[in-house]
Amino acid sequence: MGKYVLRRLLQAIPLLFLISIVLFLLINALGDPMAVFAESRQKPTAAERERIIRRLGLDKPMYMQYLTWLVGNDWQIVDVQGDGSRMEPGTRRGILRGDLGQSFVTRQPAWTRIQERLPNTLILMVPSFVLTVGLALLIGIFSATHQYSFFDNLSTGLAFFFYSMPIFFIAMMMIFLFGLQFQRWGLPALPIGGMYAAGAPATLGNLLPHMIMPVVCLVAIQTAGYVRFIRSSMLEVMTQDFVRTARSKGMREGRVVRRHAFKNAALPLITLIGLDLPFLLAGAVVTESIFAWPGMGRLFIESLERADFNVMMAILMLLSIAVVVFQVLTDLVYTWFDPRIRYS
Amino acid sequence: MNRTKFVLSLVLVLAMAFGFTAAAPAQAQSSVITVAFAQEPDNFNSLYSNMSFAKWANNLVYAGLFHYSDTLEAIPVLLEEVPTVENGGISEDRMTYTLKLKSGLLWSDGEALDADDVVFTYEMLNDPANNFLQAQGIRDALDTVTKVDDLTVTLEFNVPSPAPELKASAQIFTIFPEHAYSPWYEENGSIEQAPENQNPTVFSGPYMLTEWRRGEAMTFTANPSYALGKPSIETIVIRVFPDPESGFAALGAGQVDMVVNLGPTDGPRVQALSPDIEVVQVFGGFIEALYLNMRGDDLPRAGHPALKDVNVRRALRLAIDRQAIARDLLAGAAEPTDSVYDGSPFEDPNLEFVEYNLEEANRLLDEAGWVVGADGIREKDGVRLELRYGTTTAAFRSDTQAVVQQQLALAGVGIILENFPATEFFGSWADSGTTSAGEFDIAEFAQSTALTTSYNETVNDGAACAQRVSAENPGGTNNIGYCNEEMDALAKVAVESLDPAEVQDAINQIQRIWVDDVPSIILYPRGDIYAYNAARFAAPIAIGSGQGDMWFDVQNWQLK
Repeated sequence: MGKYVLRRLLQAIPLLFLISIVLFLLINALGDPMAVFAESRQKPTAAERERIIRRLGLDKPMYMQYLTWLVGNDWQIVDVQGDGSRMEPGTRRGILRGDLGQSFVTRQPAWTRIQERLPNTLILMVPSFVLTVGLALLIGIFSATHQYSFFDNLSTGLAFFFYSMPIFFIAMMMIFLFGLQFQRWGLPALPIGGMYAAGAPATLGNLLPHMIMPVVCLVAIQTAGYVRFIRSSMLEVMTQDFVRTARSKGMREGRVVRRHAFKNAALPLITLIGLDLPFLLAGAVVTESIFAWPGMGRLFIESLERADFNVMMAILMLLSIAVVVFQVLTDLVYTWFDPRIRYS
Repeated sequence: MNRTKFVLSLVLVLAMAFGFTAAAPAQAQSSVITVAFAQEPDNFNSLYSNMSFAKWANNLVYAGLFHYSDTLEAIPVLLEEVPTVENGGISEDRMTYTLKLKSGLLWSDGEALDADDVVFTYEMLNDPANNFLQAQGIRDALDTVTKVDDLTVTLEFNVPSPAPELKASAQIFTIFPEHAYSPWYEENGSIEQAPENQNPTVFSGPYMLTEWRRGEAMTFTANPSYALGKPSIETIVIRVFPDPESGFAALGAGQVDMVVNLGPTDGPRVQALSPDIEVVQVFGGFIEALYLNMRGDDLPRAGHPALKDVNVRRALRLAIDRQAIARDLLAGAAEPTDSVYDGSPFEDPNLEFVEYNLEEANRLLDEAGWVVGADGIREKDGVRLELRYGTTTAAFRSDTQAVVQQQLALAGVGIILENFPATEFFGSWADSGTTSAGEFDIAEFAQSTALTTSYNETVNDGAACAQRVSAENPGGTNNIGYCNEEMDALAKVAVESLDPAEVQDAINQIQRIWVDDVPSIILYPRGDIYAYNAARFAAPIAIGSGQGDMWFDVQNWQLK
């Protein structure tokens, strides 16, 4: 097993290199980080613009920029002013030595920016995901065991309804109803944006009301897919011979469903969860923007709008690594659910 | 099965209980106001940022030598008086400034704010090692900065500097706390990475930053040492709402008290949210215009050949009903203009606005030889009069595009609409940005006029012959290829002459040339629009121009 994990991780290294090259080329084709200042009141002059581009290393050929990102430039002497008047050793150490580069926007290390946002995203995404999977399991199994019942039809209908609904629409409707309209009706309104009340301490009691609307939106959108998946998976298993055998042995229906049917139906579900888990780190772009939640999704969009290449690369590489790690973990979880699976 | 039902019911009950107990009513705290920003400031040293939101947050915590009111009146903050030739603050030859500070000024930590801080700030501005994004104009012009005594500093420039606004006002920079920055500067030779830029600890403005929850909110408390007096509102929270609609809803629900930087078409919608909401518009300095690509064949990506004919450009302006755009799209929030100096003290009040006249537009196009083809689009020598109209993805611009497309169709002009992200639309020559590369016939964007000086970004840079972008001049700022030597000469007089009458005369002539030559079709001036909850304030509040200092009067804001 240990050898298997090690082999999988070693195999991932060339893959990550390849991903990093493709991402680097794509991201650098996005545009000009200085262009966003075109309509600002204090526009940089052409000379200032040129100097800043040089300072960011964006005047170098693409392969040099990639090498600097990968292995740093502290082994080189850099012409800071571009005229030979100020030659200094480079300061970048490269991602291989843990330096993800500097944010063009705040001039902080890209990793600092991720550290600021990642916990916030997990606070939002992990409860949403747990609620989504938990609710989907309850509804999906109930629907499967009560096929074509009123509840099954209702849950199927609702699943399709929410699945086909754009999240921004649900989010705006919730804001309108529970934020704006409730306040007009004199009812307790939900907070519309942010994680904590303005000027108040960051406590759990302060956080929970702010989580309600974004979490409900995320759960509403995501649960539908999982419900449909679990229902069909369960239905397939419920007609198998071994389930009939279990019933004929006189086993109680609850035990048949839990111990025999569900455990077998869960394998494809684990694959799905394993694929989704790494993206919890990415946050939810639309939800975080609408509810002013300071998470990773927003950081990515803000970095995209400002062409903050280093931060975008850092986020995307973090996700790529997470995908690899969670895939290995998923493989390991299979062995727990299905003892027939062995890795060597 | 019963157990499943039980679990389901339990979950439902818990969810409902959680929802109701957690849903605390949003109560406005008596000494706190919350302001919604659409973007998070990126740096508390505004010279390291070109972001308006960063400048606005900076102006809340750092005082400048002087700043501007909502009516563009210069107000001394750290200075005893704004330097002028009359009061002896500026020498007759405009080469020397004498800056006199108020006595007894303090930083928020109790240290004296004096001439040493002012000298340190100008020295920082002058040191290229600091890699500032701005203040090149000061760096190029400043020769020496000298401390005369604890409250007096003199600046010697190498060129006449008639506009103190560009060399000393809070519009460009605020004064740095020497005692907070100098240890870092002495150790590192540059303040570019100084922690004070991201986590400021010493303040001179009306408020002090006390907490910054990154990406979410910044909390500011009133500064008792502020030069214009301690503000009466104890706390201001700036909350980031990246989606403007959520910010507006929060204002309507009373969860925020003020939203800054509304779009030109947002006002009526926001006003309708609650009878308590006041929408205020002040001088913004931006002029929204349709820039026409007149690049010659000597430059790559020449625009549509028809645009080189001044009569076609005039016809396009006549065929666009700019008053209808202002009335229907902006709900009358702006008055269309033909002055490239609109709203500034240099606007020519006698300049006549060119009214919508479709008949005249059609006549001019007929005369120019563009005849209406079978599909309703004009053509000449086999070339169709179909123009590419590109702009950013801003919603109000997409609305304008659709209206202009319909209006020009009536004159037989076809319009292809294109929208680009700002990073692509304004990208540099090296990045083949849309405007730099000339990938447009009509480009809609805004340029700013200065607050009170005669420098005009559009005239002095955006349409200057020497600024035409090309492989030889990749940093050029003139993307439309327009060149008029007479206007260039007048533009030089406008910024260099020391005679106010001569300056005004030159600017009046420039405005007339712009109307005659139509390098751009000016749509409307874009003010700075704010919305606030009037029910929270004891009296209407004065908010300054985003170009000057929106907080110029914050110390006088009173809550009910």
